[in-house]
Amino acid sequence: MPQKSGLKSLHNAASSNPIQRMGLVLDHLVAALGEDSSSPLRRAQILVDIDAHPNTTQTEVMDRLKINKSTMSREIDWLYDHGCVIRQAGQQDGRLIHMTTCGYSKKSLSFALDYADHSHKNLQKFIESLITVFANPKPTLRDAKLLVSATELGDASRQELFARAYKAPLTTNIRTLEGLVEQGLIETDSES
Amino acid sequence: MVQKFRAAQTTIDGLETAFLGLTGYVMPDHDLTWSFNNDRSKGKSGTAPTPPVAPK
Repeated sequence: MPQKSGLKSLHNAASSNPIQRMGLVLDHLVAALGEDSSSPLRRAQILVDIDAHPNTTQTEVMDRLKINKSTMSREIDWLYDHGCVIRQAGQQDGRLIHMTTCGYSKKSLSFALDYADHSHKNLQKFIESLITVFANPKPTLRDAKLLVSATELGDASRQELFARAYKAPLTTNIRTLEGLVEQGLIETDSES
Repeated sequence: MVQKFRAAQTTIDGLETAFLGLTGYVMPDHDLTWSFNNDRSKGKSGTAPTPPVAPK
């Protein structure tokens, strides 16, 4: 029986289409964030940074990602509340809280890293590049998935796009699509 | 007639850059040797298949 790494390699090889790979990476990031596809890409970036630096502190993450303190505190609380990270008081200074990814988040991130040559830096570049695509300052994983699907499908109907999108109420998907059209990221024909 | 949607060129360019970042590829100037447009017919993104499970 092939070893785990062998299976992963086969899995990756079967997904050689660049767009398909990006879709899969987004799927794994959503899984790492508790299947919450409305998570901002910035949250995924914070999680990847913590995974890359086990036992890191909030201040260190803020410095590396240039994120303001209020946003950072909110996102760390979310990650902790959803079981994505554990927090431990420092042994030398109890005021310092150290964070490490855990459980399903760590496992799902490892799958995402398979597509990034096992490099957190590459995965961060991917997320950062995605963020810069949007005019919206807080793009979500749902936004990104819809863009990837639209790029892959070419001309597609609303139904075809939503079939590829993350599960959500129809109104949510419509609002997401309309937002992308407003930003000029997805073009549409006039309805006739 | 059904309304059709497609990715804008800026989106395609942005996703190409994102993919290159994912692979760690450092793109030399003007080296756009491939395009997503050429790959559209090869597959579908869909939902991630079940990840492989290590044998116990």
